[in-house]
Amino acid sequence: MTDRVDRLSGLAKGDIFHAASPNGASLICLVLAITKSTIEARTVTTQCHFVFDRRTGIAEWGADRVPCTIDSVAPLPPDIHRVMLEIDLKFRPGKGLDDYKLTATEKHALLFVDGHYASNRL
Amino acid sequence: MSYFESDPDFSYIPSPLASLLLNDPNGRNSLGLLQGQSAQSASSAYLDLLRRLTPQSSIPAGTHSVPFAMGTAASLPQNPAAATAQFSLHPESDLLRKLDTAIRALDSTSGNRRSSWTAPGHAAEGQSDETQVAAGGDLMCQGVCSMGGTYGTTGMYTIGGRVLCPDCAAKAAGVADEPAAEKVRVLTPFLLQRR
Repeated sequence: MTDRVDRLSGLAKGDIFHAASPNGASLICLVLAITKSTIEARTVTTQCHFVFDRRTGIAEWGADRVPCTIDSVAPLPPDIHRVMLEIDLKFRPGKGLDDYKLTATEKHALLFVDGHYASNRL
Repeated sequence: MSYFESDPDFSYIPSPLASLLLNDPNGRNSLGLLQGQSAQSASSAYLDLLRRLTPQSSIPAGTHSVPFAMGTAASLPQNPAAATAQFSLHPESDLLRKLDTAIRALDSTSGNRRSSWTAPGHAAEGQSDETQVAAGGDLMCQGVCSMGGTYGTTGMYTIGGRVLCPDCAAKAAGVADEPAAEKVRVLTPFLLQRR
């Protein structure tokens, strides 16, 4: 538990971590801000905004307060990290559906992230 | 002996309301007492009811002299009201059965039996409701399929702030031609979040 708290407290603005939702959704989160007790983050794909408790690593989402839990803070390789930031920019709402097509690099990065976080859980 | 007891082959079981009309707990003709009317007017009212329930009935209007035993035979002389409660029904007529069927129907549709049904999530005050409303409905796809094809099947992913079905999401993300396993892995980060 202490190790988990330590690793969560090691997150900094601009880091990318992974959280999971009870419905199986994979939340690739970009840290937007860190406070004494919270981690504010946004999913790079769906652009949802979460406020995680810094000790428990749990954020409550939506009207039903669905618990989303940080399950991996393993750092990404720099090139994958960069692609994730590009995906974050790309998936801002307000564009046409054709503008969201993933490039081969982005597909590769998403496939890499899927296995990377699964094998580096907290 | 009551009318029902007089026929050994008679398996007729009156409904609660019919029982109340035909036999009072004291074994006396309760019709007049029940209605708060004289036996004569109760008799007329009863016949009117029979006529309404059985339009094809051949019951003639007016005074009727064929005795109709209600309650026990022993009770009839003791009950002045019963002595005048006479009807033109033949004891073997099946009109009574028709009447009872009609009364049963009235019982089931009137306030005699209060329905215990309530809409899910709308239990009456003071009652517990174990039903939890799970969802208000599916989110429909806002992709191209909403304009044709499946005409907006259930959404599963969110891309660019739009709810998309798997097919539309795969097309939007450009993974429609990828193997199914890869398609799922690439689209998992776009899964619709429960709100």
